[in-house]
Amino acid sequence: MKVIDVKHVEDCFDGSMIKELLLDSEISKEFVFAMGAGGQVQFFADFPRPFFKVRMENLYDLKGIANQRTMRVHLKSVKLFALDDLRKKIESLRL
Amino acid sequence: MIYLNNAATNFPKPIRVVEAVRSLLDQPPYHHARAGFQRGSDDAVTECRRLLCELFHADDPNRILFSAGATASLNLIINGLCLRGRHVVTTAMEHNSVLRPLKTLERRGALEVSIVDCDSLGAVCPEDIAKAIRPDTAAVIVNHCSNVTGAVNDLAAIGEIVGGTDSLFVVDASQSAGMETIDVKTMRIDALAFTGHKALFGLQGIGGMYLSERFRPPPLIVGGTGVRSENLYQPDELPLLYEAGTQNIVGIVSLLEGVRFIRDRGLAALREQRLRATEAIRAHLTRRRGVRLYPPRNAPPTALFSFNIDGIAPEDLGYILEHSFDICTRSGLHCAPLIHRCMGSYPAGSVRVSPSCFTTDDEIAAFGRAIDAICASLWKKT
Repeated sequence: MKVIDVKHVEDCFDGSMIKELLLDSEISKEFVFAMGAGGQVQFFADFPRPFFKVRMENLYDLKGIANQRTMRVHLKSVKLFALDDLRKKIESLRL
Repeated sequence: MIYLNNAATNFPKPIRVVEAVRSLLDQPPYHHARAGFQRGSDDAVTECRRLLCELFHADDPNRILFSAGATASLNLIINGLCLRGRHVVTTAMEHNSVLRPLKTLERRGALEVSIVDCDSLGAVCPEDIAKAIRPDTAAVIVNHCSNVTGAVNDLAAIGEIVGGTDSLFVVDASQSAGMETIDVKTMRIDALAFTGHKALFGLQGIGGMYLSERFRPPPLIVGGTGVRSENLYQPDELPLLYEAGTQNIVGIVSLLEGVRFIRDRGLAALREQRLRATEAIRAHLTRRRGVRLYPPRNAPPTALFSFNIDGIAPEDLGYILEHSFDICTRSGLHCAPLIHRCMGSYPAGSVRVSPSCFTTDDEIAAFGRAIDAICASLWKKT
């Protein structure tokens, strides 16, 4: 999977930032759990459009709706984990 | 989309507002002050001023002044206070449109600000205002209706207190104008800021203020007025003193139709519809465990409210409502950070629900089902 566009959402007071990512394919449950490996994953499958949230402590939070092509990322510290790191991680996943 | 974010901007607009704006855009623009009888001397600008004057029970329509919104009005009002004294009393219920101008002036050394906390039901106790007033207090600035809890302050009681001093009484009516009764005379209000795009049913970008005879702040913007052009200084008369530049006629026309809608339907009836919708939603949430309501369950009915559910951040809850259930609410601090400290919801904030008089029973039921589904998923602990 690839990130094909990025929209800046917000610069936070604590130096973190929020971006909206557009992916080249739909977000699957497997993708969500792969992105959350080693962290916390919430996946609400019973909603009309399933919501997910991934928490990788001190690095990033992801949230979005399964089967869509966009998701929101909260980069906690760009020194520890920048947008490019996230992009590489997404592209490296083999699902 | 189920729209429960009317505290931000009203939607849908009454059909007559939409039609009036559309009709205006189909006509050549004309300047109301230069147009003759063939264009209608009882033009939209004058008529809107007159109806707002009636709505706020003011004496003189020329004391109703148009601006870009409540923030623009409050900046003009607050910046004009420095000439009158060194101290201002305000409340923890305020929006940043009050807090930031005040804190900016305080940082410059122009003013000192005292902030009165709200009580357990989310409103300010008038006696606490009285205690905060000092001999050098230039003004008391109070939010009529909180944009976080919907709690309504007793303006008559506060006006009675402030009116007995040399201080000015300034009211932010952003949420309440068009929903709550406002009588600037009996409430002894010296400056009232309002916006057009909430309970007045107009478009974004139009708002205004009422100024009493006691308060004439210097204008923040001077320039063309379309009349008195030989004068190289801003005309001193109202409303010209505060209305330099091209007027937002589209906004004023929308506001005029919005105020006509309120007049025809009745302010009390519209308010009752909003209260009924809000209470129905609150009642559903009250039955759910882990739900915290602002104002709390024992508070009087309000036209909007906020809530949180244990185990989920308000920003996520708002996101789920919007993206999973097509329900538009608002999450966060709602530009009113201090009230969240009083309520215990700082820094994450809350999810705000603000229906309108157009909210249907089906929409309320759909919101209830969405909350049930969210709670069920949360307690299941995925």
